[in-house]
Amino acid sequence: MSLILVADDESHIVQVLALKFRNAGHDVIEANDGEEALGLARQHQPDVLVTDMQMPFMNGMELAGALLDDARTSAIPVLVLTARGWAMDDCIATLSNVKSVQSKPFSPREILSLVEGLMSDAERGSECT
Amino acid sequence: MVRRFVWDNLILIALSSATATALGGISVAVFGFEPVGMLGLVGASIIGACIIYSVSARSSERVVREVIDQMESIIANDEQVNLVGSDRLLDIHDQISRMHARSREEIASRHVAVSRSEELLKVLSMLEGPVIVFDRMGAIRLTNAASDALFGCAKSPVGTGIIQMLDDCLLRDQILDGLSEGAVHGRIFDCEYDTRQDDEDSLRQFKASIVSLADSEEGPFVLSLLDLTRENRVSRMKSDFVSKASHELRTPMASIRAYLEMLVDDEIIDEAERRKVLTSMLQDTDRLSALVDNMLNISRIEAGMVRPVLEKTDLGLVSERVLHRLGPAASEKNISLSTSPSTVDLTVEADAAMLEQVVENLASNAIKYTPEGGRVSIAIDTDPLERTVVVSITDTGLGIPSDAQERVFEKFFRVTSYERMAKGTGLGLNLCRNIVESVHQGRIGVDSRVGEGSRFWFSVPVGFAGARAA
Repeated sequence: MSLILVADDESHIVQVLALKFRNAGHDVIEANDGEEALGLARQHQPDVLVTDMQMPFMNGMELAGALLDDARTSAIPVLVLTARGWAMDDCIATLSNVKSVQSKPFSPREILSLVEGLMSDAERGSECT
Repeated sequence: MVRRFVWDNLILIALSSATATALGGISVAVFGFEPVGMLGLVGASIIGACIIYSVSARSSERVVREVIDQMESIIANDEQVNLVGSDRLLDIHDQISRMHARSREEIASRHVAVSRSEELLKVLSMLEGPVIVFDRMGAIRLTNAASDALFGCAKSPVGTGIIQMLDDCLLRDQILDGLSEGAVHGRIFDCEYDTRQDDEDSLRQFKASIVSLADSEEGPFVLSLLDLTRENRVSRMKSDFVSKASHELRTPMASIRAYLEMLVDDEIIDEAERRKVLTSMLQDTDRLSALVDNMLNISRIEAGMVRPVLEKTDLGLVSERVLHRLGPAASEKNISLSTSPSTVDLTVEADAAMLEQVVENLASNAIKYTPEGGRVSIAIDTDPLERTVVVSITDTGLGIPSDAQERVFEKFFRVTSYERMAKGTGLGLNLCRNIVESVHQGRIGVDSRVGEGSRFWFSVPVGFAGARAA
């Protein structure tokens, strides 16, 4: 069983993703802004972070950057969701922990598949090391 | 010339000479070559010479006078010149007439050239875009007022170098490159110029074009600048609006799409969960609908396409209707919602439905962003000096930081600290401003202190003052 942190200031998005992940057998913790998500990530060290890009107090990229700077959270793979629709490829190049950027609207099936893929990659990576 | 006059009066001269000779001959014949006879001969010669001189002088004077008369007639443009005198005089008259006609033509064409040049300079000075004429060496020959104003020249920089005038801007480098490469004619390029003024348009963008008056690289060259600053700003604003609108539309769409997929996949079986999901989808659909309505209303007002339906509107009654509708939402949060009774006439000539929407937007925002147990009150009063009615909605909410107060009426602007409390379209306050200021020529504003609450207010003229495009 894996722990997934979902961060979005849109409560309905958090609600639907949490439901999808729980139905697939994962544990989920929820945050409504970047600052709250950073605190929860440090406290629980989830296996994956799924975060919105545009959030109050700390946006998705700032959150990913803060996780990368902290040894306790730097290995957490991050999946960013964005309603911007373009110019997000740079995020992947800039921050090594950002593994995927997906546009809104999204398919919960695809997000689940990506999240599980990221967790498998992380497991394989840790086995190799 | 005098010789010719003498020829003309040859007979008189000959007669005078003959008389003098005859008198001299008689004197010598009578007195012999004695002193008396010789004296007579000399005297007769002197008399003859005097006669010749007087005749010649009179003739010369007459000729000169005739020439002067003719010239004066010509100068006075007298067509009926008295053509007296010799053929030569006629020749002189013809030549002077031709010279006069030529000089008249030259003066007339010079007048036309001067007046056309003045016209062109006037046209040049009226052009909005800066124009600079410079030669192959970069020396400025001509500038217009727009150019002098842009480059901060107190007086026309004619005679100075264009490179010095343009100082250190991209434009200078482009021209410098062109001049050194010998390929200035026909150049069209984008450039920027920092006017170093303390405003948002300090950095101006231009489309510059250089053409040679001689259609070659010899010059002189005309540099004209098309100011694209405002156009670019409008374009950026449009693009920014589309980007923000797209973001706002995608967000509720994302949750609706995700919920639908979950329903199709039969992942929401529990009845209570199913009801919760459907309620969320309904809320997102309403949000999308409100967003589209607000966008269309703002766009119509900004385009000047809204025709307000004017009627006598009692803003006291308008507020009571809004209060009645928002009562349940206020009760849910245990917020006291009230309006202060007024004894004065609160009627304005306005579009009642539009102003009701303004009061409702402001009051529902106040409820949305006021913590549970707070107070929201609506007060309406008249301003006899301004001849307006003022509506104020005061809350005991979070308050708005001073740097955000100016921006709350901008499209899609959100106060960060508010986002934890509630979601909006980001267009409600902008729509209010458009309705109050553009449609009713009123004023709208906010006074607020963080931690104490906010007072949103608007005032509209008692008599409708006419709508204007935003």
